[in-house]
Amino acid sequence: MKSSHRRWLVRLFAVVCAVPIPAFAQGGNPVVVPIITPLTGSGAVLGQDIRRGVAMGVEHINKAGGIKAFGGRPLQIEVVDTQGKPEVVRVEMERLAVRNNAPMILGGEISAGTGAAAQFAETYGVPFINSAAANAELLHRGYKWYFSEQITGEDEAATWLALLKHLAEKAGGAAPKVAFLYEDSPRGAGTAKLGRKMVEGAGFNVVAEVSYNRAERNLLTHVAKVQQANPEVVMWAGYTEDVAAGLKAMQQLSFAPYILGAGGGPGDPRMPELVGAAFLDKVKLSTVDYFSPDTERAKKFVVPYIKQYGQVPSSYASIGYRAAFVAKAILEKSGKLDRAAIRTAVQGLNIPGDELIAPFESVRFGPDGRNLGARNAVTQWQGGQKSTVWPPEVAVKPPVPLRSR
Amino acid sequence: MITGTLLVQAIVSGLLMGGIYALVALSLALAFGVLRVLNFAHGDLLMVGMYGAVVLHRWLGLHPYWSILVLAVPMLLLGWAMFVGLIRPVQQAGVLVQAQMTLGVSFVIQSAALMIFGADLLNIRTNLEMAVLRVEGVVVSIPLAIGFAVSLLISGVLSWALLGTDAGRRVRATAQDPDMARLCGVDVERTQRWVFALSVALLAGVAGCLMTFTYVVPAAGLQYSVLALLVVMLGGLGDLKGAFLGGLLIGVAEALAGGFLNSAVGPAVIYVLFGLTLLFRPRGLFGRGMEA
Repeated sequence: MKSSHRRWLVRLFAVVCAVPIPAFAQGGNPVVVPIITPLTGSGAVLGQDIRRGVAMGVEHINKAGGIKAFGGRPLQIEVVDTQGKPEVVRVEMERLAVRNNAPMILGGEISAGTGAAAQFAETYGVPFINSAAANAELLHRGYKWYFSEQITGEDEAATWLALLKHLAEKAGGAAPKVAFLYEDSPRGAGTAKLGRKMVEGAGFNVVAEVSYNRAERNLLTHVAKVQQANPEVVMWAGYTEDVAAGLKAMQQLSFAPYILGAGGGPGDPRMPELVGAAFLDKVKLSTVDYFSPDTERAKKFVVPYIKQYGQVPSSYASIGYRAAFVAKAILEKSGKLDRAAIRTAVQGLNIPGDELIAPFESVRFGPDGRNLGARNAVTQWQGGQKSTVWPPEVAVKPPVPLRSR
Repeated sequence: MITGTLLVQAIVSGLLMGGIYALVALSLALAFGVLRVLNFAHGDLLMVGMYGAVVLHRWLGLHPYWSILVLAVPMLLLGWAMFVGLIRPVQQAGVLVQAQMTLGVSFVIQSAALMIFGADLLNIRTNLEMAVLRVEGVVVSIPLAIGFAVSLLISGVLSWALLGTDAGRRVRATAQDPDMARLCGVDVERTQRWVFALSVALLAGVAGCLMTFTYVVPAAGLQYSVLALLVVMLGGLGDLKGAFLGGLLIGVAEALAGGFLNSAVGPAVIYVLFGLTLLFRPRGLFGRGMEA
């Protein structure tokens, strides 16, 4: 071979080596999808649990062969800390969507932050799939790039009403007087206001509505206000910290209504440790929840979680696990990391309920981005354990009666 | 409907909680009065004490009140180390640098707490937790009442020490005029070191009292830092009596506003009060400087 030919061959070889090879051909590179969640700050309890759930979900997905539509590439979910602040959410969304070119972004944020993220996603045309926030108002904004697979405040309020009606019918006698107690963020206020509208519409007498700031350390006066109205049932939307503080205030005031809760707070597995199992039984603390750890479908998550962390997973942790599997399903359906293709895949998604750990019928989205298959269940503390008590088709035990005979 | 009982309940709860705020603010006011450094990590140092109480309870079964005595020494040493290592080098550097330094310390403490303890709420269950006294329909939380009493006791002892002892006179002289105090033979740096260390040690008392009825999370310190700063500004920078009364005022305002106003407005009342004080009494309610 002539030396000039050899020199050209060497140069050609060098150029070929320098050309970046498309990722899908490299086999082992993970498919990276970010999730935004508060790992620090006041919402850290939510975010830290979500991170655990995400880690377990990703582990299970990758053990089962990864993303098949991407040649078995492993899934990697980048957990991004928003500190629970909407302004940090905006900064992170910009970094992920504009600088990192994320094909889609998952949401494990509280309602306030999710609103900021949804707005950004709509402006920049990035599919944003929320798994945490229950704020129903976002679904009425006509967003095209925001999807929520989580139950909404409307679902919670409807379940509240259904259970309240059931308890009242079983109890007989006069309809119970109802009070609303809630933390005043969009999450708590949204659910409580919807609940009040439905409960009053069904003919129940609402005798008090008291809200509080989640950061308040002493809820004695607020709870005393509720107690003053003498309700038999208190419908309470709150997070773990404020519900624990409020329950302590109830104990101090010797106030033990039947509590129907909503949100991760009343059902937090740490509640017996924080407040005492005996009082939880006394107030029949129940919560409308999107996760029931005692159901058959939840076992594939609950059993390894207990083995790894020594405690029953909270509903927050289930969000992370569910988000990972929803992300996988979307990627399998789209087969591409293109935002428009992913959006189309999300719109056509239909994950059957028995593949989920949540008590959902399915994950499939309506034109407004709402998960039409989202269902919730009610869990109730009985004897220091959380049991699924409603609806009857998924209940493991019946709910404690409203009035003892 | 606002009943008389509810109003009294709010005032009583607010006063008792205010006593605890007062103690947090008192220690900050003491440090500021002598060093002229606003410590934005003050609440996070309190949070360290709260975690300390949790650890002592879990390892040794120690009641939070006993942990006050055990934690006082390590908190004193922590304050000492913080003054020598971090505060002293920036004491003459200007307000912005001091603020940045102490804010940085705040973030480090919060992150360390998150790494060590996680984000879970940690609390201490004691027999006293739910104990109450009922007086004519008004419920008085015993742990809160004890916290108020501890706050009064510590304030009283501090007041006596500052007014009635040589060490107290040296502290007051340093606060009023460090240069003149130096010329009069006071070891100003040593005095400042001890005062800062003492101000951190005082937080052991607050931590023990708080852990009898509330929980701790890594972000807990920030709320107390903001509150302490508000109280100290309200009472008059460096004014200990002002800090104590400011704490009570904030406690009552918080309880009344939270209990009777729409909750979105409730927390704003404290800031409105703060703003009005700055407007009409810029030196604080008493604004007398380092007076006990």
